[in-house]
Amino acid sequence: MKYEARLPAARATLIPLSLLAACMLSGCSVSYHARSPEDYKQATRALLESRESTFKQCYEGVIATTPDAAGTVAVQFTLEEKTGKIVSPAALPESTAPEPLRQCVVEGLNGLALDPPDQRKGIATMTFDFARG
Amino acid sequence: MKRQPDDKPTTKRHALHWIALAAVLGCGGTTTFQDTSPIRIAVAPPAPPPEPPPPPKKEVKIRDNRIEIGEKIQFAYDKAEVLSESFAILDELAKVIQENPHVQKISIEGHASDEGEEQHNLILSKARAEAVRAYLVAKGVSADRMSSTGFGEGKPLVANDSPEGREKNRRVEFHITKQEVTKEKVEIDPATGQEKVIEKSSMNEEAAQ
Repeated sequence: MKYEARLPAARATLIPLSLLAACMLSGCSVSYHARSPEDYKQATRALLESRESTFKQCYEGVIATTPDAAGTVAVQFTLEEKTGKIVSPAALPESTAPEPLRQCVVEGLNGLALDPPDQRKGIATMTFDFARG
Repeated sequence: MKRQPDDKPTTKRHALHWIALAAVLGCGGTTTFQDTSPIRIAVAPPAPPPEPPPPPKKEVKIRDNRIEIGEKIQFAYDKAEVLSESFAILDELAKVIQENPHVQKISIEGHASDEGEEQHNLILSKARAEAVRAYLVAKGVSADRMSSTGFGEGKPLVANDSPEGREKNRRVEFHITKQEVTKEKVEIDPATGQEKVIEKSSMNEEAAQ
């Protein structure tokens, strides 16, 4: 009776500890960043802004053939936990920029990685605004 | 196994530990965020288009008893209607005539190739010469200073045996029929080395019609 009464408490302690151990063994340690949503957003924005020249080239390529091209490209992508890599980027339908510009932006996002990565997977929605002047 | 009444708070406490642990470690889970402020990508505005080169100066020259124009006057096909592409040269011609009052009388002469009926060509060449005269009058040249006539196919410049030849023969010419000629006799002043007019005379020269 006494043993039975203590069992749930023991189990409750053992399970988190074993999970913690598993978590640490699998690489989930406190050395990874666990950003707040706001920090995650800012870090992701900084990552995209660091590649401004790539997106500028996209725009310059498009306006070479369509001088009045402008508008927004809204993109959604996933940031892999632990690697920080941007995967599955896609332009959202609310984008107003021409299709070639959308494609170029999506291609430009592929391969970018957040450094240091975050322990959590991120699902980001970001918008680029392309304009002349 | 029967749950004891005092298990409930313990389970609750463990659940809170779980949440706290997960929050501290941040292990797993998904963060979803949306940046509402767009990343602005701007490139320089388009350079203003280069200034178009000034249109080549239409050449109108007074040569003895003729006024030569640098291009042909174009008419609508088989009509005495000056085409707009010839407005510039005629505007320049009007200006030159007005700036040269010594040119007192001008005969505007229309010519045709041998295509079509001779009589028709004669009428057409006259009508075209008159159309040019009317244009110059509209641009401010005194009507008294100009007359118009047509010679049809009677005075070809070259043989009418090729399209190029016929094109050359379809033309309007400007002949000065009366002008004031000023003659100056000069000598070099040995003291200054400058030209010095020692005799000046003006006379009206009238070409034979």
